[in-house]
Amino acid sequence: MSDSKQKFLTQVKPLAQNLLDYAMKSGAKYNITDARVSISLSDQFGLELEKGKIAASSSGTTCGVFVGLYSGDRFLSFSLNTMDEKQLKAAILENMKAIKLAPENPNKALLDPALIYKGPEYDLDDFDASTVDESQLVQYALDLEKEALSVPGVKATRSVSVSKGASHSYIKATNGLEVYSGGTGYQAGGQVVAQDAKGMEIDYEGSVATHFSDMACPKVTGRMAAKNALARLSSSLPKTGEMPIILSPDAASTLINSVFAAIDGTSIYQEQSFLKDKIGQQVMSKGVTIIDDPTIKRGLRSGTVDSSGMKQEPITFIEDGVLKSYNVDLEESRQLGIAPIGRNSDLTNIHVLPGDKTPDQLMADIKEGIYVEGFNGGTADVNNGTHSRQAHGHMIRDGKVTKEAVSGFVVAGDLKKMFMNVTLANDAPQLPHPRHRRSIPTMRVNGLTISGGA
Amino acid sequence: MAANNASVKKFFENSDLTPAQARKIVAQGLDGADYGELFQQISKTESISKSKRMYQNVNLGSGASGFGFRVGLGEAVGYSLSDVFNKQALEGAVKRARQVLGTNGGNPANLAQKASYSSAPTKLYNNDDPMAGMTIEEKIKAIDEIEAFAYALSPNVTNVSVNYSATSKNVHIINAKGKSMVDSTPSASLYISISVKDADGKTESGAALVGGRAVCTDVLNRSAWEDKAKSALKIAETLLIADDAPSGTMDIVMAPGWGAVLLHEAVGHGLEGDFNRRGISVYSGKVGQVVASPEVTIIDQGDMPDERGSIHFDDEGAPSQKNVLIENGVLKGYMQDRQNAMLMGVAPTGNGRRQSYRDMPMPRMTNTYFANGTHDPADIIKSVKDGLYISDMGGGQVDITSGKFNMNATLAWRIRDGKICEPVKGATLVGDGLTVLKDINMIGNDLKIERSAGSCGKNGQSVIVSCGQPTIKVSNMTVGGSQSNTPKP
Repeated sequence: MSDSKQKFLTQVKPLAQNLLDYAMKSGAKYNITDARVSISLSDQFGLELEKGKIAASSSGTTCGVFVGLYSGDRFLSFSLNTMDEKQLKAAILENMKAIKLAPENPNKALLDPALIYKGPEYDLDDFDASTVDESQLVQYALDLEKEALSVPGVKATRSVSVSKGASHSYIKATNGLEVYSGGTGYQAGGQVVAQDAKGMEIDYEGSVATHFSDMACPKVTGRMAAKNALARLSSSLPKTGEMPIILSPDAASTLINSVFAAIDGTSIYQEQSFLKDKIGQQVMSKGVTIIDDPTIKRGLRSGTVDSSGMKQEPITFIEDGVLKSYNVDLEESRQLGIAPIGRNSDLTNIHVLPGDKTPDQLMADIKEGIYVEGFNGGTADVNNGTHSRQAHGHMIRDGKVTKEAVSGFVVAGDLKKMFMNVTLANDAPQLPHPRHRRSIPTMRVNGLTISGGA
Repeated sequence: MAANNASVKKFFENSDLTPAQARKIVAQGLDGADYGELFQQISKTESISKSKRMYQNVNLGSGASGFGFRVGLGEAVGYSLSDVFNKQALEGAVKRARQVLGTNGGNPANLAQKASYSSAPTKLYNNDDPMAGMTIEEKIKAIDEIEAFAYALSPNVTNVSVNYSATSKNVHIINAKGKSMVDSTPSASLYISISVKDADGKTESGAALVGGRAVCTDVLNRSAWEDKAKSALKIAETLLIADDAPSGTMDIVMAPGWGAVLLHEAVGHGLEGDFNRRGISVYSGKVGQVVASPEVTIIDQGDMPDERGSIHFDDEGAPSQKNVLIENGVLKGYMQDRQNAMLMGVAPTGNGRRQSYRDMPMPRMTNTYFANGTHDPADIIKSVKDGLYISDMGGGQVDITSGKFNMNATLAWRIRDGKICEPVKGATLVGDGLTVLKDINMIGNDLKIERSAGSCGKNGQSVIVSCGQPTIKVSNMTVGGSQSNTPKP
C-alpha cells in the first residue's frame, strides 16, 4: 500500500460517489437507470540527455474522468480531464438531458452484479516503495549514454531518456462495481546512431519495469543499443526468393500481434478475420500455446479485476495450436453471444510457451535463410491473410547467423499458412523481465517469400 | 471577427488568474531564457459511430484542457504541465521547468530581443465551432441515411461502419514579450467503411474519408458523402477480384493526391530540423546540394487557405509560411521549430507543432507537396512497359537515419504496355528517400492536395497534416507482394 494510492483514494472516492448520487437523484426525471464513473490520475517525470547534459525535463500530473450514463438500453458517455465537481455535474446534466436521443444498444449495459468479483487480490507488488530521486535518474541516463558513445563506430545518440511515473485508476458504478488499479513504472532507453563509410544506421535498446531496482543495468542497455546500431551498418538487399526465416523474440512478438488481431472480438464481430468460427480448430502449428497471465508479480500489466468488475484469470487462447478463445471485452462478448472472459481492460502479460530446441538447433539445417531482428511496418491483414512487412536482420548461412546485415526487404506470405508453419525455440524470457514486455521465444517460420533485389 | 470561436476570455473562465497576471508570471518565468512560452489548450470533441446496424458509440462532447510552460536555454529545455490553470499551478510549473536552467548554467541571453513574431496572421480558415449547425437528432439522422445509402448500393454489402467526429481545438499562447495569441481550429471527419462478400464467401472492405478543416455540416452533407460511399464500395469490390501483388523491382506510377504520403515519409521527416541539427538524417549537411532529379520541387506550406494541415501560427506562436524544401532538385533548407532554428543559426519556419499541452513542440510538417511538373498524366502511364499504378495508398513509416521507408498500397493496378490492367492488392513499397528522389523521372501537371486524410506520428505525438502531389513516376522501386511465384527480374 503506497501513500500516493491512499491520497488518491481519499480524493476520488467521495467525488465518484457524489457524481453517481447526482446522476441517480437528479437523473430520475430523465429516466437514468445506471451510472458508472472512472477516474484516473497519472504523475510523470521524464528526462532527456544530450551529450552528457540534460536536454529536456518534463513533469506534470494529469487526470481523466470518464462518465457513462444509462437509461434502459440507451447509453451516453463523455470524459473530461478535471476533478472539478461543479464542471463534471454540469456535463452530467447536459448528457442526461440528451440521453433520450441516444439510440438503444443493450450490449453497453453494466456487468451482471452476480459476476462482480469481491474476493482477495493477487499479490502483485505493483508499487515501488523506494524513493527514486531525480539525481538517480540523471545518473542512469548518463551511464547509458556514456557507454553507448564509448563504443567505436557510434556517431551520436538521437535520444537518451529516462522516466518515472505512478498511475491510479478508480471505478465505481451503480451495479456494485468498485475497483482500484495502479502502480509505479520506470522506463529508460537510448536511440543510438552508428556510422561507417556507407552511411548511418539507428537502433534502440530500452528497459521497463514497475520497480526501479528491476531495471536493466544502464551500461548494458547503452552497449546493446550501440551494438544493435553497429550490426545494421553496411546492409545489403537480399536476393528475392523463398527461404526459411528465424524471428528474434522481438520480431516474433510482431507476428503474435497478428494472432491477437485475428482473434479480436471486433474483428470477429465485423466478420473481418480468417479465424472467425474457428474455435476448437487447429489454427497454428502443434506445439504453439499462447497464454495471457495477469497474476505475474511485478508484471507490467498484472491485475486482479478488469474494468467491468470480473476477476482476471490466466487464459489459454491457443493450446497446442488449437484456438480456445477469442479475445473479447464485455461488450464484444455480448455482440458475439458468448460469456465474458475477464479482459475488459485488454490483455495483460502475454506468454508464448517455449519449445524444446535451442535457437542454434532451430536453424541448424538452414543452408540459406534470414534471421529477422525486427519488422518495420507493412501490412498484416487478418481478413484476407496478406502479410507483407519490411524487415531487417542478418543472413543465415550453413546453420549460423552471419555478420552479413540485410535490410530493405519485404517478408511476404499468407498469415494463415505462416501460423501453421511455426516452430519455437526454448529461450522465452521469464516475466517480469527488464527488456521484454512479453515472454516470447525465438521462432522459425518456413515457406515465406523474401522480396529483395535481383 | 464576428461569430468567432477564438477568444482569450474562455481560457480564464475557471481560473483565479487574469490575462495580465498570467503574462507577468510568464515574463518572469522566461527571464534569462532563449525561448519558451505558455501554451494553453481547451479542446472539445464529439463522436458518433455506427456499425452492424447499431450505434456503437455516442459521445456528445468530451473535453481536454490544460497548459504547459516551457523554458529553453540553448539545447536544454524545461517543461511542466498541468490540467488545472490557476496561479498556484502556473507558478509551480514555472519553478519546476526553470530547474533545467540551473543544471546547465551558461550565459543567460535576453529573450525579449530575440522574440520576433509578426502579428495578425492571415485568415486561412474560419474559427467556427465545428459541432454547431446541426442538432444531435439531425446528426443521427444523417448517419442513418449514409448507412442506408451504402447498404442499398449492392446486395453484396455485409456491413457498413460510419464514424463521425468533430473537434474544436482552442489554443492560447503567451510568449516572452507578453504577447498573447489565440486561435480556434475546427476539424470534422466522416469515415465510411463498407464490407462486401462474394459468392465464395470471400470478404473485403473499402473505406473513404470526408473531412479536414471542416465543420459538421460540411461532412454530414449528402453532396460530400455520396461519392465517398460509392468509392469505398468500389475499393472493396475491386479488392475481391484483385490478385496478390507481384514481388520484385518495377516502375511505379502514383495517382495524384494522397500518394504523397510516400513523400511525407520518404523525404519530409528527414527534412525536419531536429534530426538535421544532430546530423543524424540522410539529408544532414546537404543544403545547397543536388538531392533529387531536376524536375523535383517539394514545398511545406502551412498558410494555404482551408487545407487540412494549415495553421495560422505554430504551437510556439510563429506564423505559418511557405517553405521551399527542395527546388529543382536542390536542397534549400529544413523545417524548423524555434529551438532547432536558433541552434542551427537560421530563422524559424512556423513548423514548431505539438499534439497537445501535454507535449513539447518539435519540427513537424503541415501541408507537404510536390509542385507540378510538365507531363500529361496519360503520357506518364503510357511510358511504363511493366509496372504498377498505385491508386490507393495506405500509410507508412520511415527510418530517418538510414532513409529507408515502407508504404502500403491498399489498391494498385498492373500497368502493361502503357495500359492500366488488372487490380492487385497487398503491395508494400520499400526504398530509401535519396534513391527515390533521384529515380523520380516524370512529374505530371495535375497537382492535388488531399483534404480528408492525414495525421502524422512522431515520438508518440500525433498532429493533423496533409500532403499532395501530381501524378508521379518512380523507376525501379522494390515492391513486396505476397504472390508466391515471383517474376523473373
